[in-house]
Amino acid sequence: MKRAAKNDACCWEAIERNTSWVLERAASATVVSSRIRIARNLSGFPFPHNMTFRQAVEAENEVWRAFLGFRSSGREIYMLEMNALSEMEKGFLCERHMVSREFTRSSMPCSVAIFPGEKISVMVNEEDHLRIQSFRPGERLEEALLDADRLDDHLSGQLSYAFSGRLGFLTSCPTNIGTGLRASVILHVPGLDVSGRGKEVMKEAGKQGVLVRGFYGEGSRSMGSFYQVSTRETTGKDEKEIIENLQVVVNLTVREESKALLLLSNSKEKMEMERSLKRRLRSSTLSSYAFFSLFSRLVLARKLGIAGFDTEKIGRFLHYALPNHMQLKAGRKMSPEERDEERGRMVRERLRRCIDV
Amino acid sequence: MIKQPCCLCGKESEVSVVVVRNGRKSLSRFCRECTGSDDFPGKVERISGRGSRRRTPEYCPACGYPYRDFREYRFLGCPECYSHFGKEVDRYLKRIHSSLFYKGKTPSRTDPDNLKKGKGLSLSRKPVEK
Repeated sequence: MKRAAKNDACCWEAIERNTSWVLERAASATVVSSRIRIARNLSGFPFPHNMTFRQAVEAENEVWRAFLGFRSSGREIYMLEMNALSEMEKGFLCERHMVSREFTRSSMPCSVAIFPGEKISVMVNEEDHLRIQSFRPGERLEEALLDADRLDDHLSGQLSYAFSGRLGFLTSCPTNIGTGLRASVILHVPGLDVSGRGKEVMKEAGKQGVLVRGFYGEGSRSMGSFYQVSTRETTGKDEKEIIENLQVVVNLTVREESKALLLLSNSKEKMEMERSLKRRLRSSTLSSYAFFSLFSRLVLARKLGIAGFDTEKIGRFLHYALPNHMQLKAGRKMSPEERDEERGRMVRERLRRCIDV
Repeated sequence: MIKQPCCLCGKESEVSVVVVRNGRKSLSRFCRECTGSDDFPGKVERISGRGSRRRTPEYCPACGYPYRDFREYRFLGCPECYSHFGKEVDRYLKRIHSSLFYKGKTPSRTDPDNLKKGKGLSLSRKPVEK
């Protein structure tokens, strides 16, 4: 176990290297990644929003002690105290989906534990005392659930969870009561977006009992043709049944995306798409939203046979177009205009070279 | 750990008062300030009688979280709030969840009392299906 300090460069490098799970398949798959989130609370403590500073420290220490005995398949577990991090570092973790945006704004003692071996991050003292998040590239919700479950079982042997036989796990917000589980996937559907059916399909998905959200979950905007789809129900079903419902919606969306791609491949718009792509690749400045949009069009162009590239190589660009990744790499704070220029340069000088259009 | 709040103002309590009514004991906690107020005996009388009328407390006796905050923000203060604000939480849960029947996993270490069906919670035993 390694406790990372603010300027521990080695630790940050390792975290950066080992946490690209969420967007690993952004350039190749329709289902980019799967995530399981489990909410747990300690009995005998108020919920985090109602705790005193001292109670928050006590709860945090209790959780950290419980982590010690966990046998991780990775060599190290990284523990980061959020209040010891800079705004850029907090933003970096948020862009990697390791922590939520609300969590980065907390002034109370809170921390995140990262288990690279299991592809797990645990937020301590977020909305609930524990928010276990397990990630997998692609559509592998069951595997993600197994790993989250293993850590949860270990912790439940060390900690006294707030649990009721009738209601299940008790949470700070009653919407999460019961299993405390929310499963989500990031879908990349440029075919549906370009054919104008994206919103319609996502609206249909919403009717099947799932929530369609922006790229960073609740309250965030969608970026490019990326959507986050997550489960709504947390009780009345067991964990596997909750996941099954989401899998059905995901399969339907993947089928619709394939149909859209087939229609587009036979359309006469391909020439126009190629021209527009070449124009965008010459942009002098690009906001992160514009970059994500370009990225989605690139992936679509590859699927339609207009462009060719190594998906893994291109996928890596996506993280480094994000504001905090960019600033952390440059080692300084940059204004939005500077970042847009830098993004434009990255596209013209590096990304374009990797693409065969 | 959770400090017991005063039943009247929610501040940290220092005095415990036991009232015996019809052979039933009820324990309430108060801060020094409230015990010094003029109508304190009347307030104790009203509070000790609450149990029989099953009124929702203004504050959670375990963590001091105000009931009005639950109504306004829909968050609870501690795990105990679920039982102390029983009926109101129950009503809200029925509104936001299509079913309250719990089928998920059970933690390996927990207070055995909590596992007894319905212990400390006002929810009915029958699964609520809409």
